[in-house]
Amino acid sequence: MIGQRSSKQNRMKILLAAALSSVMALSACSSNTEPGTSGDPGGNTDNPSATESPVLSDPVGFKYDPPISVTTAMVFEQQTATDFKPGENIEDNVHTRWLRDTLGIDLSFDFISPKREDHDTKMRLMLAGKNKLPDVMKASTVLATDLIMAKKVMPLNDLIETYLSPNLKALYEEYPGVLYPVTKDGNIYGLPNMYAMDEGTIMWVRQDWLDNLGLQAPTTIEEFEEVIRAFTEDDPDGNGKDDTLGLAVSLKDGPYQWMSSADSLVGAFSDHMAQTGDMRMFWSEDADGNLEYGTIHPSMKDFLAAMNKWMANGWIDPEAGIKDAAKASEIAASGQAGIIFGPYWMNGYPLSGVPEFQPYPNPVGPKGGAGRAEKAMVHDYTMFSSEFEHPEAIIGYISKLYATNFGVDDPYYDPFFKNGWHEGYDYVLHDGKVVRQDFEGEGVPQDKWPVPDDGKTAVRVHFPLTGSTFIPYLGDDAFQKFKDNPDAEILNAMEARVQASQPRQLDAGLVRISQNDTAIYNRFGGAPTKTMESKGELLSKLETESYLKIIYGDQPVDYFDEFVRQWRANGGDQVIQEVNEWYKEMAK
Amino acid sequence: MAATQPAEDLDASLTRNFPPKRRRFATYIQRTWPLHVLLLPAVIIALIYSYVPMLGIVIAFQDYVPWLGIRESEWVGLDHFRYLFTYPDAKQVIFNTLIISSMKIVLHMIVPVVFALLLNEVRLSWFKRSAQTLVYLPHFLSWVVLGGIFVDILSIRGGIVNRFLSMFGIDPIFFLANGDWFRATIVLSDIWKDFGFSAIIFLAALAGVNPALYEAAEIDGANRWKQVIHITLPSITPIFIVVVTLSLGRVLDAGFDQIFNMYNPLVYAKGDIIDTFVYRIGLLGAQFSFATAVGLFKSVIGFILIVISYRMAYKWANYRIF
Repeated sequence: MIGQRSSKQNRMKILLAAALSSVMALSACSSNTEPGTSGDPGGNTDNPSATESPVLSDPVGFKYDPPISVTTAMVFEQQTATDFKPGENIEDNVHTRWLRDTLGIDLSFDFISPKREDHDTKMRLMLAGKNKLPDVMKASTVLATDLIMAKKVMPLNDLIETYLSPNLKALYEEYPGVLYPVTKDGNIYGLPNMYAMDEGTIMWVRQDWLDNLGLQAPTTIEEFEEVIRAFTEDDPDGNGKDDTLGLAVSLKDGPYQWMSSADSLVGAFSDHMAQTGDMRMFWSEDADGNLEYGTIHPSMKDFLAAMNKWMANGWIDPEAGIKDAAKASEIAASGQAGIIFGPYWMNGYPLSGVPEFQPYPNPVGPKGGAGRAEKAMVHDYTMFSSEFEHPEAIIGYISKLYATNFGVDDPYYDPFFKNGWHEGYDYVLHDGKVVRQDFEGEGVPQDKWPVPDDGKTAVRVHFPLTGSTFIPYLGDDAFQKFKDNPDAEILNAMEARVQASQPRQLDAGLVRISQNDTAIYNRFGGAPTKTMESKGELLSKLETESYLKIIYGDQPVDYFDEFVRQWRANGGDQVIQEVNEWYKEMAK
Repeated sequence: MAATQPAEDLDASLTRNFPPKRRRFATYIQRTWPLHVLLLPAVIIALIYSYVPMLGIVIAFQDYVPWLGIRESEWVGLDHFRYLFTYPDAKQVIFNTLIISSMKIVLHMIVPVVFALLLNEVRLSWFKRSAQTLVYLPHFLSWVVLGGIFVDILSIRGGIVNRFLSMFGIDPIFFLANGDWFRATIVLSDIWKDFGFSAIIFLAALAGVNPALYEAAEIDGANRWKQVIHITLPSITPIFIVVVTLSLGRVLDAGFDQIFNMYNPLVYAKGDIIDTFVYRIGLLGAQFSFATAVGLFKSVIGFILIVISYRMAYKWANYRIF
């Protein structure tokens, strides 16, 4: 298969080389001298020669002349009117023009879908129809697995070695798990696009309610229980009506939610994390290096018993079981609930109208520690069609974007991005000062505002091939820095993001950072295993139903053992085995 | 309509001449080909968009893998159907679907007709118009929006319905989390959303009844009630049968949008239907073959039911749609 592919590619390359630029010709030559062999673990078909590529000879200023055309596809839906300046759109905006005029990369879109499911379906149909795939693709773990299995994407080991920024390479070494889902037989097929990892759950508490009742913010589960009791029964808002309750939480789709979450309550009772409804979460490593499934861990009985007691007493939202995360947060935002768990950004949404909610660390449980679920580090992967001629151009471009995080020492660091992405869009230079928001307040004249009739808002810059180029935890130090001095110098793109936060959000970020060591990671990062595909629905349903039945008191807490027995017998044991096989394969 | 006019003329002229059979067919084609050409686009569109895609049902009998395509995917026979019927929850899910959809079908037969009859008797034209508009408005709201609204309306913490019930000393009912109430909630909210829209077709039928019949009945001494029984109802019977016949084909569709937006794990036992079940399976594994197999199963059952009800309609109501 590999031989067949490379010979076809070489033929194409020779054809193109005859017709096109010197860059192309050189890359084709090198590929002829180094044919990909099936015995080579790197498995690369053909790389342009290292020394001849403009990316290597000048990582900062490389430009393809004549321009190369690159096709891609993306998930995009315009959210607000200020997503673009008038006349610009996702296919033609300041960044795509910069790509074309400065790097010589002429980006075009095969299709743009508003939803990821639509995008993935289209990609699968293209696979099925044996259509030409876009040169550069952004794929979720599941789609990435399909693309790899279909042998339609390029192995990147040699390209990463030759072209990728050394800082990014070091990052992959620091978090080897980010490459597991796109690694097959030792070949790496995708470049991970990562989260900033600043969304760990914290506890938001109504400070005014605490003060009214003469209480302190809870630090332990015992205190937490007392506070939610008092918030429900002691009329914390002092209006003489029984219209408040302790905790706003969503349990409909499992304990771990993007907000209104219960993950830190699980973490207070267990070293494991439970998530029902998705079998890929949460797997922890036991003492022998095997993965075990948190949802069926015996320690979850303590969590369920506590939740059951609180539910029976009416201290948590009785409708938690029918509400999703957004719906569940409404009673906190409308002043009916006193505690809600979620990320630091809840300051802006949904709690922006309730400044009395203050951030606090997650309470410590009877086992003596706190715990929270940590998000998966990668949202998707940038992959290259195996027919793509210029992967090194895109890897150079990606390295350049990430260099804004790593600073001047990165070989790809481009001073053009010193102050932000594009002047007049995400920032404005005014009197030698970089202004990123509230342009009107900073005295920027109206003709320099990014949005002509809005002096407060900056225009977002969109990165169609990568999404936002975040580095896990890199922004953490900035929270303290900008809390101490809001005008401190901004050293990289991640810091710029933190600097734009409101004070309460900075406090919330610091609370989150103080508990980074309590994060519980999910060690399984693969696509769904065979049994997950065939029995996953049954098992997930069993999980969610059993958890809710116990919390709502339809079944006693000891039903948990019966649930685990059923779970194991109905395919759960097979899933555990498959997940561990995957883990051993990856750890090799 | 205009196109059929010359065709009748042609037929008439052809039968008058009594030409030999073959000759007759050739002449027929020769003289009617423009009509066939006019029909052609519709036939092609139906072929391309309705019949060709049906070939895709073969993946219901395969272990379909997108990048291998239909030609190279493995054939598994009836495995997916076997899987559907041996799946531990399948019986319950099919039962829930039948219960919910038959309640919906029955109420959707009765409520819009009754509403249309009542509205037809109203003589205030402004009231008639505004009532008609108001009741069909909910049809245009999506269940995503309504799902959120119903959680609030039916809330046990100060939801308007439970507040109303408490005036009669009834304890709050957790409509969306109590399995028995859940089905009733689903059916009634669906009726509320769509009865106005379904009534339009009956109102149109009622408007088409010849007023001379009512005048004649009045002269014969029939009162309002007798007029309804002997004129109005028989007049809308054909359209009623059409609607019922078509709705029977949807007996395995209990309303994915609605249930997906309103159900939750607490009511899986009573509210989970085939479509939501398939959705959850498909979500995790992108199991095209299984989803197709379920779709085919639903279509076959629906087809059989339509044929049966159509036969019955023909036999007892002497009505033919086609």
